Amino acid sequence: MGERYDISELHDIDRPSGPVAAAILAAGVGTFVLGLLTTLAEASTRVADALKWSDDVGPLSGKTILTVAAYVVSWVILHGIWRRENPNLRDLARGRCPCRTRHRGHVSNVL
Amino acid sequence: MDFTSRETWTLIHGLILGTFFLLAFAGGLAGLWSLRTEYVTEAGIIERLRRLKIGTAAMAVVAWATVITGTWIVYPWYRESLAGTTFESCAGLQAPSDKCSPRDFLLSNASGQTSDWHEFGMEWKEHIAWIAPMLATLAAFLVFYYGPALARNRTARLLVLIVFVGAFATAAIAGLFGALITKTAPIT
Repeated sequence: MGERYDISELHDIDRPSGPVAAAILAAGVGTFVLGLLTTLAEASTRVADALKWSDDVGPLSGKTILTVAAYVVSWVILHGIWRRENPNLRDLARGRCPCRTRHRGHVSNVL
Repeated sequence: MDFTSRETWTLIHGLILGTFFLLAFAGGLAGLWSLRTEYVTEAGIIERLRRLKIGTAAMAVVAWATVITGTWIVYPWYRESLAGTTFESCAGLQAPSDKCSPRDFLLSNASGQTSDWHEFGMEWKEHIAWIAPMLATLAAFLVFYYGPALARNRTARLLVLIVFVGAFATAAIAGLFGALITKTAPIT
């Protein structure tokens, strides 16, 4: 590719980074919940039975419903919190809490 | 040329919805990669962006439809327990039957060493597939949110590309396992 990329470039866009951070983190939360429930269901038959919300589908029913619920709810909550904020996307990319908000960089609207 | 109800739903899940998602990826990838101010005029960016928005939104909807039909309609037919715990009804069969579901058939090893298709292939497929719609939704959201800025901000474009490729990769793994498992133990 030969191009250099810098996450700070994302803050050059004239829109808050909060909704982006919320959407990315929500997908991460959904994926984490799916992985956690799958691991727990494999480790414990009690957990697997508790996730069997549909006899036809089995434990996958509980896993997928809880995963989607965690994904949607976390997205709504994070979006509400960060709607107008600029959490640091570099922190998010490094797996840190993007709690520090930063000021927007220069605005470049020229196409 | 008759299809049973189960075969029809399997086709809708895998061949229509799943294949649409995987094929649409190529178009989306090319559109995203070349959405640059140095390649396309301002009018071209607006036109391409409209197509990208429609395409990524359709892919997200189709990804959700694929996993929902797969998990809640097709999967119960796959995992029916018809052959008992020892799978005696599967003995001597070359394919699943009314008394031996695809899962029973694979676990019984009645036609060669097939249990790994369930224990590794299906277990992977049924879970990893659910990551694809979340990533596809994220990709669509980013395209709508960033809009024309995608053409001039290479990092934003790379972010969307990474998420988009991630959605494809997870769907491709699930789709590949699905096709191979269906070949070994079809739902009929």
